[in-house]
Amino acid sequence: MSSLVALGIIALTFVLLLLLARRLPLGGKRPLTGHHILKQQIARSIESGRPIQVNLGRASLIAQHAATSIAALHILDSLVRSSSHNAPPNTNVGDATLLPAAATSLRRSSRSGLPHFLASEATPLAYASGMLNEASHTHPTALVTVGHHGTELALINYAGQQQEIAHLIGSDSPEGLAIAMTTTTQPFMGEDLLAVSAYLDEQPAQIASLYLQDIARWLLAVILLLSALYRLIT
Amino acid sequence: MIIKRAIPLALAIATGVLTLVALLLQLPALYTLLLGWATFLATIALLLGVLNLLSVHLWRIAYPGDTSRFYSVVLVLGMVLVFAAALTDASHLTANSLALVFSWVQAPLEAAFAALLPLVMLFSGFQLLKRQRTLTAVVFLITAVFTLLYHLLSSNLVSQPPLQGVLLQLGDWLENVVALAGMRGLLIGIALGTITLSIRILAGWERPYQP
Repeated sequence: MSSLVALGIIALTFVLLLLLARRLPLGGKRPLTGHHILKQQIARSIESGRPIQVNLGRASLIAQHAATSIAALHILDSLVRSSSHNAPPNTNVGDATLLPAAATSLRRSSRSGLPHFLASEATPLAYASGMLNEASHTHPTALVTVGHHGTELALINYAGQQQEIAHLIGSDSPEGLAIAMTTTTQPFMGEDLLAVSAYLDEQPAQIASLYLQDIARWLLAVILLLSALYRLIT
Repeated sequence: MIIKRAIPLALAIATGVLTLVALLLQLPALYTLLLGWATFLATIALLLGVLNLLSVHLWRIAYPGDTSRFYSVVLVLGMVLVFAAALTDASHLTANSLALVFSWVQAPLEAAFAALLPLVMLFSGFQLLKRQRTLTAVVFLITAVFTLLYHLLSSNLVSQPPLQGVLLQLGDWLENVVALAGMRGLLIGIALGTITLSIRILAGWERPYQP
């Protein structure tokens, strides 16, 4: 019974999204500052002729944090598209399932490059150390660290500080975000990272899904507040 | 061109919908088969990843450019040693040598890093305050200092100062109410974002498999 209810909710969401996509204006999204910083870094990379270093995180495409990795891959794809006549981003992955996907994105660049596999999912310290080594080896214009990153962000950030380059961070890990807040001005906080693809592509259905997500968030917040009030009174 | 785009799209949507339906309607034969394929492909990807790592560092040893080849040599030697340890374990020439490598090298390094983290955070807090004197930066720094003190007090390593009970209560409240509420808020947002992204992929509005 509950399975049928879940399927019904998913079907209803599809219908709602289709209806919203036809009616919504394109420019009405809430601002996402990290998105502008990403565009600035792309422009800086094109001007300087030096690549950006993209770190795609440690989440497998077949495990719990797959959505974060998909969003990170979308950012990589956008960076490759923007710098198609320039040096492609130096790409590092912390999980092997991201390797073929990142290689497919990088193949679009006129000067194709290969992503580097740094360590497996279970060894964050090895992943961060590999990334420090890569940054000192390639001297990038900026670091874009998006995907599932935890406390190893403290070490990765050290690479950015050492080379005095901008560092854009996006993660879905609360520990990683705590570190990101102390190091960058506008990190992609969890759901922001998952919404970046919609901001980059601006398809009506994608924007509609963000509106629906905002509505669902407000509904949940009201339900949580009302239930807390109810518990307080009774 | 249309076929080149339509076939991967149709395959991806069909696989996604089939897996979702199999999981929701409890059809273990179907979802075990699909997830089995995915796990097998992930294992092959791991093998490719290890070969990628080895080839990159062998290349750097051969053509170091203007950087040191030291780390690459250490990495390749480490890979060879761990592989040899696994082989000798498998052929019963040694016992638990692979576990020894992990418990003597990997685990202490990870633990040392974890212990260093609060200090790194505190240092980052000071840096943040130097860069931008905002309310967030001040609140972060005060909270970081207070949390370190709170953990020192609750560990009984220092003599009991006056007002210890009040400080511990405040620390408990900060950890279990303020920090936990923030973390739950983040996780709820991530869950909603994951659901909407999944729906976009299932509907074919977003195609990570088709750059």
